[in-house]
Amino acid sequence: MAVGAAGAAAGVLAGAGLSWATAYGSSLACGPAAGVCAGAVTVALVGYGGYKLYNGGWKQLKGSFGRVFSSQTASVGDALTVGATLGGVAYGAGTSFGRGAALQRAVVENGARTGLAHREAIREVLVGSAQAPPGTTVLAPRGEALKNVLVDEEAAGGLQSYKNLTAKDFSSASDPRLEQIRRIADRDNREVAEALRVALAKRGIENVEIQQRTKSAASILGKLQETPGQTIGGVKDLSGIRINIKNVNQPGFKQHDEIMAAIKEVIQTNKIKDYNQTPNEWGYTGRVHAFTESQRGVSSEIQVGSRELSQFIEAKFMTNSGKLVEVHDLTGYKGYLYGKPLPQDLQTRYTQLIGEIGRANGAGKNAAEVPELKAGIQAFQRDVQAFLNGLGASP
Amino acid sequence: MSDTDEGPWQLWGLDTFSNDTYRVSCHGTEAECLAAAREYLRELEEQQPSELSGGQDGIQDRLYIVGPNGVRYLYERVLDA
Repeated sequence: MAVGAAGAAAGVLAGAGLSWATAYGSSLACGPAAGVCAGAVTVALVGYGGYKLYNGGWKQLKGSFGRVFSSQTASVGDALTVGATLGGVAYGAGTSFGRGAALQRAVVENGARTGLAHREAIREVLVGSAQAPPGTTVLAPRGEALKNVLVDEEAAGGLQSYKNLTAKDFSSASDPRLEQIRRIADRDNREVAEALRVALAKRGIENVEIQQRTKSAASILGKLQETPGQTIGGVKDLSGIRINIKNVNQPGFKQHDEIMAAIKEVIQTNKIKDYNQTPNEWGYTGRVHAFTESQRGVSSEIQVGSRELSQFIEAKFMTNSGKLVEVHDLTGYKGYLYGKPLPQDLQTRYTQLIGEIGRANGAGKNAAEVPELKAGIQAFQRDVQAFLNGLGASP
Repeated sequence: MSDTDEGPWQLWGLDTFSNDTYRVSCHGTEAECLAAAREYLRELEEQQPSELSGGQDGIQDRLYIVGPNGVRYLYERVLDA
């Protein structure tokens, strides 16, 4: 049975969640033997949520959580799942409710942010559960395992508690700790980007656009899995900010340098890769990458370069079958995705052109202002398209 | 929609900023994979909102559909329509 989350969700909770809540409340009143005391309903619901969570079922639960905690249509099953899981977590989170409180706070904050009626109901239940007597354990053996599901991020000082975790510590991208890591990093990302906007404006630097992203939870896990032993603390770009110079009009990478000066006002960099001073082995130049780590333990990378350089690197092409590919995706140096790379001569031209765009920018010019470069870019893009056309209907 | 550990149709993410790739999910059919892409792009829009990341023309992660016989293409938001 599908029901509307915003309106009928109150009914869902009355029909399902509150029956869980009632059983849950009763069980709290019963003390340490709560699960048994409150009878089969509590045991079944809490057990179900706990079972799913402990057995890597968070991903499955996520859909239900998403629907109940959003304006999407939720079902009675969703409400039951969410209610039972929260019950399981709250119970299982430890012999003291200190750990459980961290999750409760997250749920409460989430509920408060959107203000939906059903969230309020869950909030009440969760706030109420904080009154449970210390030592209450229903899912004792597995509850121990949940003690570390979520670390209180403020008390733990941001990501410090997570820094040594590796891929082996996560069962899937839906692990709530990955989302918490992402959220902490996102806070840094927004703060640093905003501070950069202010610093650039103060210097009168307007000829730029700022793009920012926090590494997604799945991407964080992917990065950990890519290199055995890679830790959260070793991922150098949880937060990423790119400053694109819209129009290059000063030689000697002066615009890059002015932006870098503004960046240094905002953050204390611990490493700078200046490809303008030192191009890489194939001539990559035109960008500066600055790295830092905040007090919260969030690593950030800030890239400064011309917008046309980014656009060339990530140019899109249409295949015969009407599907899009990025030239970046066809250059064959990243492995799995690149089953049909460009012929080697095109790859060589690609990297050469990246270097030439950087060098034109260093001379204070945009690529369009250098006729040979402009023609080279057009010829390259024409040849890439011809290569794709020659592949027939695939990819 | 089925999401298994193995499957001929795979949804991959590309962190455009860092050029890191990561597998999102595996599926039995292209249609299931596309549905998963649609859902994941919605998640990405929450995690990396277009107004900050520049969206699919900026540094928001890209999504790739990878299938049998070398099929590989960029998932486009326009396919949502």
